Amino acid sequence: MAERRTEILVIGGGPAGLAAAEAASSHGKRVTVIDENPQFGGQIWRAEKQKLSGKAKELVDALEKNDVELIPSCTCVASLPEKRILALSQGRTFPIAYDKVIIATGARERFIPFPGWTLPGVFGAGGLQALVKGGYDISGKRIVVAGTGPLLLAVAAYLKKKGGNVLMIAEQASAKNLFKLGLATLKVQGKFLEAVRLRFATLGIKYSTGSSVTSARGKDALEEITVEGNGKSSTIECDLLATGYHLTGNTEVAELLDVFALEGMVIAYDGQKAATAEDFLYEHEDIFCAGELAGIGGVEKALLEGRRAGLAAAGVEGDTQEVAAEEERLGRFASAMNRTFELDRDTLLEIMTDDTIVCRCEDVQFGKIKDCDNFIEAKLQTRIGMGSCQGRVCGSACEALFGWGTNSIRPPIIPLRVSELANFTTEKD
Amino acid sequence: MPDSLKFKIDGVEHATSPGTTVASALLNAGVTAFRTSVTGEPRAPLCGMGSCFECRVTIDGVANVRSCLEMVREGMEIETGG
Ligand SMILES: Cc1cc2nc3c(=O)[nH]c(=O)nc-3n(C[C@H](O)[C@H](O)[C@H](O)COP(=O)(O)OP(=O)(O)OC[C@H]3O[C@@H](n4cnc5c(N)ncnc54)[C@H](O)[C@@H]3O)c2cc1C
Ligand code: FES
Repeated sequence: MAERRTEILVIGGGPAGLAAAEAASSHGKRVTVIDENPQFGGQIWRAEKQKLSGKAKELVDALEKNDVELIPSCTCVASLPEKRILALSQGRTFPIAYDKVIIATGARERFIPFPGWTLPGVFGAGGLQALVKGGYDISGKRIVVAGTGPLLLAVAAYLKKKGGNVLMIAEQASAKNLFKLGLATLKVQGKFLEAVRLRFATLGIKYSTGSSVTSARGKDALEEITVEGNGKSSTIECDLLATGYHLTGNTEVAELLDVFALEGMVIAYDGQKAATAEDFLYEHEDIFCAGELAGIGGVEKALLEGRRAGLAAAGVEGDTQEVAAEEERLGRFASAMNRTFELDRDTLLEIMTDDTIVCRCEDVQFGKIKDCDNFIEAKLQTRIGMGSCQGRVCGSACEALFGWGTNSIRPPIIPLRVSELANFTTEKD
Repeated sequence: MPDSLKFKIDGVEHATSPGTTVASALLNAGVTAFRTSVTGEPRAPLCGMGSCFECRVTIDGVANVRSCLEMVREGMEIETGG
């Protein structure tokens, strides 16, 4: 396929990417947005049966009006010389050349292993929500939502609305920390009301703080789980377990483009170490980052950063004091939130058994890596992180369990087939 | 929405409505083992968004496709358990 060329390339069409594209295209720039998913909208606006609504629809409509090129089901898999990326779409790879690139690849859920978590029926929390939005019918299913993070309440409310029989929410964070976060929501417009709304939407569902799922059991699929916390242990029969441990940034594309190596770079590998508002938005000549990949902070922050990155890439002065102040408020809230849902390593390690699988691609067990000093050593000994997911799941788990810095990402960042590379030609080659 | 799309799972005819992902359609059909792990365990979707690679199946002869990122199409043939 011939090389494509654009002025501003936006990688990721969630709130941040769409806001960036809208801002840049409104100032006359030729913009292309690609997204790995078959539809735009990112995680929060993932539409049911592909029907976008509200702000998401508004932005996509604006982009269509501004003649922005939108390419769904298109993944950035590698970086090429001369300001180009290699994109994969519909079984074909092709280069896209750009003047400026905005990386808005968002976040994924962080998963923490526990005995039995590989059983079919154990899903991520956001993962199950996404599958239901994709048409999975959960009516009447007995569901437990567990792990940590603000997503748990949102997911429980959603699953309940979709007819799921949500038995319980088990939140690992302590009641004390959650209360502190409750106070912090009062300072940010909208957050408090959202928290109240979610609490109402989940009324009737048992909410246990300081509690964790310590094992999941079943023959071919999930049948029951054990939940422990506050000195108590209980066995719960359920069909589905939705479990996630807050979020972690999708930093692969940024790494491909060597954003980390640039001077003054402040994004830490796990994103969440970026502590201040300025850290969340990185600008360096031609490369901009916006949204959750650089720090978990919710949709308002993603929109604001996206807009700022879009204006900056278009060369427009857009930063008013108001925006900066709002960004700081949201940044502070994000820090408070991330502190509340920080994982307690001792609790996590207590749950692990030697035969608990940590790397699901290579089936590497906890006992095989627990005495290693770092991720590289574990990798050389066991192949952990060397499977298809390139450590997207086990890497952040090892960070949480052992404090290891991990970097298994290698181009292409998803496995490619020979047939997909075969057609990779450019006029330049 | 009516179940207007016909597709096959391991040779057996099924139907679903437009806009359904392959992963969701397989779950609706009661499939538990989407793929078999290197040590022989059955595996099913975890992340629902393309990052865990646990939902891989064969679609129309192409192996290792992440089913959570694909929409069901009329006449699609899906093979599981690989
Ligand atoms: C699973 C999940 C569920 C969530 N659910 C909620 C919720 O219910 N409510 C809520 O308030 N917040 C939710 N969040 C938080 C939410 O992510 C943010 O509020 C907001 O969506 C962040 O916007 P973003 O644009 O930064 O990233 P995202 O919305 O994550 O968008 C990033 C986009 O980049 C794409 N992408 C990633 N890598 C590539 C690549 N290599 N090539 C091409 N495209 C790529 C992805 O497909 C995605 O569409 C959820 C997060 C996750 C991970
Ligand atoms: S469910 Fe994780 S990649 Fe599809």
